[in-house]
Amino acid sequence: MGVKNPKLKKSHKMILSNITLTLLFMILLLYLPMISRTLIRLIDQAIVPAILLLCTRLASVILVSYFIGAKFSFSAKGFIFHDPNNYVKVNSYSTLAMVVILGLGLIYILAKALYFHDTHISPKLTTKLFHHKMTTLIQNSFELYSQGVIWLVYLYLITIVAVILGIFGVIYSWVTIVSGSFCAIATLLLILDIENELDEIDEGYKEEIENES
Amino acid sequence: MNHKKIDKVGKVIVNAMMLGLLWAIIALPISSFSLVRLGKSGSGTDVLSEQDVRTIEELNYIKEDETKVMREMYPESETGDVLNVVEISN
Repeated sequence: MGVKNPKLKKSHKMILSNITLTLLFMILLLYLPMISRTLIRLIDQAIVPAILLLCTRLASVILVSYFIGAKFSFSAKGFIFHDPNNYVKVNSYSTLAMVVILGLGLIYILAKALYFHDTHISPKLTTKLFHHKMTTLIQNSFELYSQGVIWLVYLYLITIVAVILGIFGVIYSWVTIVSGSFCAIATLLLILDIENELDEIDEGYKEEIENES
Repeated sequence: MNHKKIDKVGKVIVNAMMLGLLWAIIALPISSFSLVRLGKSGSGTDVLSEQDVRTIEELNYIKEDETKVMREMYPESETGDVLNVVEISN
């Protein structure tokens, strides 16, 4: 009896997975116009912060280890530290760097939402922005809230991870507190803007009814 | 199945795929937390493993027991290697 060639079995699996992928891709192409507009917008908005956070994590790990003189080995598993104190320090400061980057991004989005939102921007500020050719700052609710939600989701996820790591003592607890505080403030400000927006809609609706009567 | 039903199923599949893609993008920076690891004990550190600690404790226990006598033996294994075994007798 002949021995079965394992490569043959593997190639069958590969062909099957290729067919499945092609089929899925064809379904995707066929139903592309039916995909939810919100989902496409969220995916579009999620790419930039994902790359930014990944780069921040890598850069901060290298920079913090360089500044504190921590030795590490780099392998396929990632950065391996042998000193537990250095490991905690590097982990904490790189998490903090990620939180700070997310915080800065959220400050920019919230400033746009609170001051440059097209529904409640003042005429004076609009003129100024037109004068300085900075009209890109004026955005509608759909653009602002999709951006805000994505950045806030990242901040929430990092806070959850920071809490878990803090419980196990892998990062300093004050990093978790800073992350949680950022999270609470950003959520509060976004809710305030949504309330503002809802008030505007309500007032507009009332005016419309009054004009009709 | 009519076209409307097929369209509905296709829409659900594609939206689920898109949701999966969104989750994959969001989970990407979170997965970077596993990039930083602490080296295992014994790989350049002076930290003892649980097995090492247990062996030392057992040896200390035997040494402290005055009713027992330890005698080293060097029997040969099947491959001809000399094994170092400690025989404990009362």
